Amino acid sequence: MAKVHYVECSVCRREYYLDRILSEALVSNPALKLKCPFCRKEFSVAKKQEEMGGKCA
Amino acid sequence: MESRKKQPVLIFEKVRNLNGKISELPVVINLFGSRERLADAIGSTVQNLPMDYIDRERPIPPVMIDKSQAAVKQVIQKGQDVDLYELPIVTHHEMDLGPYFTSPSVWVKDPETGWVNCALIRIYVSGPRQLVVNFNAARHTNYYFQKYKALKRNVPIIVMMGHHPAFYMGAQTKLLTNEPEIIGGFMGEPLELTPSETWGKEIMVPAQADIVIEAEMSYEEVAIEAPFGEYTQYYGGQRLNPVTEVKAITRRKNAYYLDVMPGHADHLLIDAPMIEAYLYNRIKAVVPGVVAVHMPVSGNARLHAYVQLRKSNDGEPKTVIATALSSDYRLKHVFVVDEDVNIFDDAEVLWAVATRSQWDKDLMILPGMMGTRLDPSANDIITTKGGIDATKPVDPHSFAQRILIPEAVLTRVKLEDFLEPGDMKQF
Repeated sequence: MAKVHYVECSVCRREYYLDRILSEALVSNPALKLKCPFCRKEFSVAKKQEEMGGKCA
Repeated sequence: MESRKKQPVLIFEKVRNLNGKISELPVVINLFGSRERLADAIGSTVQNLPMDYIDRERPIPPVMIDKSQAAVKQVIQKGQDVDLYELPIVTHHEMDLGPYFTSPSVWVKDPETGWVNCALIRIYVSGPRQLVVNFNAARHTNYYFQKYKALKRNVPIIVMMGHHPAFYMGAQTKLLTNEPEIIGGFMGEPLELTPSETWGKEIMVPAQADIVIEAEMSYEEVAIEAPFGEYTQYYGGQRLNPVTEVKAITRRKNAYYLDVMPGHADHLLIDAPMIEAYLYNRIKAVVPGVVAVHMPVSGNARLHAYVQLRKSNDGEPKTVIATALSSDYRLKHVFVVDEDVNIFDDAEVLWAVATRSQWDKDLMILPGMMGTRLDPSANDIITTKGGIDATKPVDPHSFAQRILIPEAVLTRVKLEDFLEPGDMKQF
C-alpha cells in the first residue's frame, strides 16, 4: 500500500482512497461505480471527467 | 478503557440494529483483548501460552450431532425471511464503508480433499441478504477459492460468530489441514457439528455457535468493499471482493453478537500467541538458546517481535533476526535482547536498544523481502525488514554491569511501613 490512490466523491466532494488493483481497473473502466464511505452514495470518476472536459480526475 | 490500560469484556444490552430497532441480541466486545483471558481459555498462563498453543495444536476429529441437539438451530431464517439488518452490526471507524462483521470464523471446504479451512475474515454487510467478503491472497481461504474458480463453481461458505474462545484460538492455526479437528484439540474435546440448512451433510456447521450464516460466494462477481480500519491502524483502500448471497441464518435463541474491535488489542492479541509459538519453534531449531518471543501490541502484534536470548556466541542474535524475519511474511522488525530484559515491557526493550546496540555493527537490514500490503510504508508487497542485536557481548568482562538494588533490600522494604493507608491506593 505504498501509494494510495485518492479519489474525490462526485456527490459529497470528500476524498478517500482505493487500493492499487481497483485504481488500475478504473483506468480501463472509468464508469466503474465506486461507493463513498462518507455519504455512502455510489458515483463514478467518469462523471467527474466529463465535468472537467474529459480531463483525468 | 484501553487508554487506561484496562481490557474488560464489554456487553452492551440495548443496541440498535440496522433497521433502527433495539436488537434482541446484546453486543459483546473485547473478548480477546487480554492475554490472561486467552490463557484462561485453554487452561494456560500468560507465560506458557505460546508453548501450550503448540501442545494443543493436535487433531481431535469432530462429531456430528442431530439438529435437535444443536443450540445454533433454535432460531432459523431462510430465503426471503433472512434479514441481516436485524443484527446489531457495528460500524467501527469514521471512514469504514459501513457495518462489518469482524468476528466471523469463515469456513470454506476444499472441493478436492474435503478439508475445511477456518479463517477470521472481516465481512462488509452490503445488503439485508448480501455480503462482500475480504480476501487475502496469502491465505488458505483464497487457495480453496481458486479451486472453485477453476471449476466455475460458486463457493458455499459458513460465517460463524460466537463460540468458546478456545475455538477461535484453534481456528488461527497456520496448518493446512482439516481445521475443525485442530479446533477440537484446543477445546480439549471433539467439536460438535450439525448439517447446514442449505447443503445438509455436505456442508456442516458448528452446532453450539451463537450465530451461523450460510452463504454462497460468487466465483466471478465482485463488488466494492472497504475502506476499512485494518490491524495496522490505517484504513485499507477501497477494493473489489466476491459478492456473497446469504441463504440462511441460524442462531441460539439467546445469542450474543460478538464483535471484535479492529486494530486494537481485541483484534491484535487473538493470534499473537500463535505467531509467538511458531517463531519460537523456528528460532529454537537454529538457535537453541532462545528463551521467549513476544509480539507487542505496540508493533500491531504482527510487525515487531521481541526475542529473549541466552546467548552462547555473538553470531546468534543476527541468526535469530534472519530466521524470524523469513518465518512470517508480516514480521518486519526483530529486537534481540538478553535474558535479563523483560520482553513484555516495551520500555525495557527500548532501554536495551539504547544501551546495548551500536547500529554500525548491530543493525541488520534486509531489503526487497515479501511483507504485508497493509503496511503503508511498504512498496505494495515488497518491504525492507530489519533487526537490532541489543544484547551484551558474550564475554562478561568486556561490558558494564547493570545497576541493581539488592534482592534482600527489595524484600525487606515494605511501602506500608512508610505510607499512610490513603496514600497506598495510588501505588
